[in-house]
Amino acid sequence: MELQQMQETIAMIREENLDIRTITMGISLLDCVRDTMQNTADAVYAKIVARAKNLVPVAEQIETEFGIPIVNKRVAVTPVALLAGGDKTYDFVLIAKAMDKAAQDTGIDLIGGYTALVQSGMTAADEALMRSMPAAFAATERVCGSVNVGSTKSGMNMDAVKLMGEVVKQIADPTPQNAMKLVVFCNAVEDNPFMAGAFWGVSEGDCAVSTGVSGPGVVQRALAAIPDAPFEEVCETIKKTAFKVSRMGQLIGKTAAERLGVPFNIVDLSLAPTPAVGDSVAQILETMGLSHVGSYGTTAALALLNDAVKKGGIMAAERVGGLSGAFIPVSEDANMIDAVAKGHIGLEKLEAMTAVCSVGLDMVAIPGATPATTIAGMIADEAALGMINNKTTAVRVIPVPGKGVGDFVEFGGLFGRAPIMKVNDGDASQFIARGGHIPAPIHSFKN
Amino acid sequence: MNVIVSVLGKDHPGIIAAITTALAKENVNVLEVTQSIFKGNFTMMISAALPDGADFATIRDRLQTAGSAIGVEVQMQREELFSAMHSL
Repeated sequence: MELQQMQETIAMIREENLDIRTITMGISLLDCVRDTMQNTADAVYAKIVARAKNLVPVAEQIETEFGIPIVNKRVAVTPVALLAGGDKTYDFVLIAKAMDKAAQDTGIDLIGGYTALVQSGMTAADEALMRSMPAAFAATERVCGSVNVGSTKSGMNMDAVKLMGEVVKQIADPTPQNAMKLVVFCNAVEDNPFMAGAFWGVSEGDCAVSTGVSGPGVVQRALAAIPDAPFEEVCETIKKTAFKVSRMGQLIGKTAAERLGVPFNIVDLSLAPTPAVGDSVAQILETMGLSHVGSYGTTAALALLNDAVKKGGIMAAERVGGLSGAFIPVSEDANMIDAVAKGHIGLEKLEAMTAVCSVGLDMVAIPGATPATTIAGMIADEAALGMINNKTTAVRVIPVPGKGVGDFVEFGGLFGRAPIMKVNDGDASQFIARGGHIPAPIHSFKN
Repeated sequence: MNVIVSVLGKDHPGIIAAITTALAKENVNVLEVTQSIFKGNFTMMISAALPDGADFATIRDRLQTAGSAIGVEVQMQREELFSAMHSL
């Protein structure tokens, strides 16, 4: 092997923040349903601990041997709304507490799957789980959840959209940080290893591990070396970089799976920023030639980035899955925070960007006084983008009680800090109050 | 288990001697060495085989101690990381 290639790998890890963002173990809880919620919660705890007890030690062993940071060790479980069984008390908070205790006892960072999939309709259990989210997230530290309100195949459940507007506000009051634990999806994927939206779909097996690989800094450095190149070369450079990064995800994931004695599922190559300098997706877009993220050209730049990342990653791994693309969370991206604070980018441009990125409006802080129907309107707009364009979209907004435009909110660590963004003051309440269901689009009828 | 030991730092006499001596003490067998100097910076990559049953972290820590004693940075990583990234 060439000296230069070895140096490149070392520089990616040491200087450009390349890391394995997460090793996520998926665990099916379908065999944990018992006669009462408490008995189910006990079975949930026992199964998670049995499967995940070696996850952290194995990840740490791999970090040592390969010299690459594995930032998070996580677990994703079957959507909890499916675990009610015959117990009509629907006391799902008992299960959230069992998940949280299992996460603490195994040392994993976050556990996802406090989830309901309601794109077509809500069962009583689904609705109870959604309504229990404020209590569940207040009573736990590491539990994350999601609700899928729409899909290209099923259309949009507008009753669920309305309810989630209210639930998001309740979760954030009085502790806005709790709203970081919830993602409202359209076209949610069943094998996503990234939080807060990870859950383990019902079509998955009993247990497997997936990896989420990141490295916006690696892509940015590669593009900085070709400042005047035409777009063909820009795309080729991103593809080659994404290929190398995904190969590493495949190697680490497969090694972890072998040592844990479970199948290896997928590699998700998602450029996920952190607030650290040089670990920014917005900076990649700026390196392509934009004065700041938000200027005209931003959506095109993000579209080519997202597509080239997928193309580069797809051949590098046996199975590519999850979200694979570029994330644009505001609070977790230093250049994005800067652009928002200086007024270079607003929610409307961010919404346009979500039509071409791999997820949606993510880690966006908004005034605490924003009405629930306005949040529901945001969710509906994002879900519509996903439903019509056959892609995953999501909303993770954080209404911060007592704060308004221009204030900042601190989330801490990898979650960063966010300026409170201006929200359009139009009234969507009559639209949202209609309720019911928006049918699936015409292009979904393919049978 | 095959590993890549990378050594980076400002060039001065005795770097190769110090690092290979440390490897020999740990019974690590050197397979291939590539080394260059660019603008006064010393870079060396050593492909090596760890003895069976070796404790990875202990050997890595001892190599890093030997490196810091002469002012260079030493890392040891499994070889598969590099081959996975650069060869099909």
